[in-house]
Amino acid sequence: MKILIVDDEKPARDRLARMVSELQEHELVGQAVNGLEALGMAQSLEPDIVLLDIRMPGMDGIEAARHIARLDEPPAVVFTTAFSDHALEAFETHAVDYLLKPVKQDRLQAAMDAAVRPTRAQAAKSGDMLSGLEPRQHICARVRGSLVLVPIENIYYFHAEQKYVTVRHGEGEVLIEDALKNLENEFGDRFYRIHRNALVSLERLAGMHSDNDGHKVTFRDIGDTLEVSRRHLPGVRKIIKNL
Amino acid sequence: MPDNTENSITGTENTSYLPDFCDGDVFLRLLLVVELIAIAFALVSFGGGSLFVHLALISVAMLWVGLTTAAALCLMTRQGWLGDHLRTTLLVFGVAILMTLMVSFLSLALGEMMRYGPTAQNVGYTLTRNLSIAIILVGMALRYFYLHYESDMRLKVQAQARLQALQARIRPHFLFNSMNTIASLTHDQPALAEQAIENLSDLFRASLATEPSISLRDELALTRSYIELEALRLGERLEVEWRLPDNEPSLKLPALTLQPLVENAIYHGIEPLPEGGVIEIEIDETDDAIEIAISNPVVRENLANRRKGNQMALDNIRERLALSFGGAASLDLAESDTRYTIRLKIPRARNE
Repeated sequence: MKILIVDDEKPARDRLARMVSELQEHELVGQAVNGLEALGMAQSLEPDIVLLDIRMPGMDGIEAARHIARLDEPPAVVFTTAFSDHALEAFETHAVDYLLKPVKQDRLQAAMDAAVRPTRAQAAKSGDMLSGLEPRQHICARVRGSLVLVPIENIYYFHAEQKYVTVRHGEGEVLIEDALKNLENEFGDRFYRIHRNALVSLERLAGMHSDNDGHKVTFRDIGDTLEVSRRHLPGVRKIIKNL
Repeated sequence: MPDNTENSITGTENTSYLPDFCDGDVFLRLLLVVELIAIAFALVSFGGGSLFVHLALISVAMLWVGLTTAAALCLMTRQGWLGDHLRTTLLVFGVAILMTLMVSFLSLALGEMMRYGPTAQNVGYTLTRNLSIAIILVGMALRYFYLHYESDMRLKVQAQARLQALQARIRPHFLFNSMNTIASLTHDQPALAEQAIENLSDLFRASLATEPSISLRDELALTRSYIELEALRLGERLEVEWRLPDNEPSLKLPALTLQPLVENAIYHGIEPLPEGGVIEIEIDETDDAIEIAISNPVVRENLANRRKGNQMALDNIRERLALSFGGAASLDLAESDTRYTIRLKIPRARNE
């Protein structure tokens, strides 16, 4: 099994690395220092198991696990933490185990055994498992080879074009590969479908105007406009009225 | 080692349950109470003639007994004759009875001369009456003093317990992360592991100490121990800049006041930053106070996830400062675009 260690503290990484090296059937493939780096390595190194610290700067372990769970073939996640908080949130990300630091060797072995068993089965039914996941706090996009995080509250809208979805946010836009349908399921509380190809942020919506081409919504602070389809018009009208 | 065992909870200088009769305020209040009782007696026992003469005679007699007794007790306290509670009680009764007898005989003699007051036939009755009144009043007064003393002690013990409870808070995350660091270093860098254990021990000893206050020098040493531990964990992400006066000011403050402020600064200002940052610790002296400023980088909101509870730590320190200094110490926050600063001001006067 290929193992990825994620922890922002070097002594903690060193210790886990040493302990993993003592487990015969496992191989350490990488070490990441925060959630974002972990996400990148989870995609590039394709580990089977990720040992993931919860409290980390930048993207923390729980958020990283939510992203990891949405990968095509997600590795098993085993959380490591110094103190038993966030346990509930942690398990909602479908982590297979939760280890307390300093981790004991036999406890690590047990977690690895547990992680090996369900990975395939987990991958197979990840579709319906996603529905139980908490929404992510960021959208993660690859820009010129490196990963970029966009906080959900900074996003104006998602706009689908052929293969990609454009994510328009406060500082520009990024492209992601995701289905608008999935995004709607995940962020339905904060975003509203106005067209077959667009989801808009309820917090960023400013108003609607109509011209010869039809109805268009406008946003706070930016000049972008997006077309509202006839089918979604009544719903959008209602929302605009309540703004 | 030997001096650590002598930490009694209460101070040693005043173990008597009596108020300090040498104190002017106490003395005046005693006068007032005795005079009020005299007025009550005069009203009860008034049987014709001039009320004022009657009141004056009773007042003179009672004040005389009260004042001489108080003066005697003041002297005895000074001389250290009071001893334990039983001895104190017996001495007070003894002195009061003696003074009552003296005053009674004097007033009898005076009365004989002035043809006023009790006559020789009922001397026995007068003495018995005066002594009974004296014993009852002294008994009531002592009971009152004792109850007052008890509730005072209880409050003191409670305040002490509160102070200790507030002091003994080490973040569990910090403890277990440190343990994990030590577990890791034990293998590769045993010398560093040893040093980490020493530092952790210092911090625990301070958090378990019964002595509520500590010198600034020791608090600074504790803070350094703490920073060394965090530096092992955070590596290059943690940078600390000290700006101390040339001579370390001598000052006492509640133990673990500065360290938790630095802990907060690291927890909220350094840990959430992937690239880390600088903590600045600056101590300034003015004539009447010492000002300690601790600052950390401001962390953008979207990085500060899952990090709450700043308020609780600050409230805790505020409460301890209030318990130790009344309103004279202060803890203020200031935020600029880039830095978050906490200013702790501790008065000097009460320490020196």
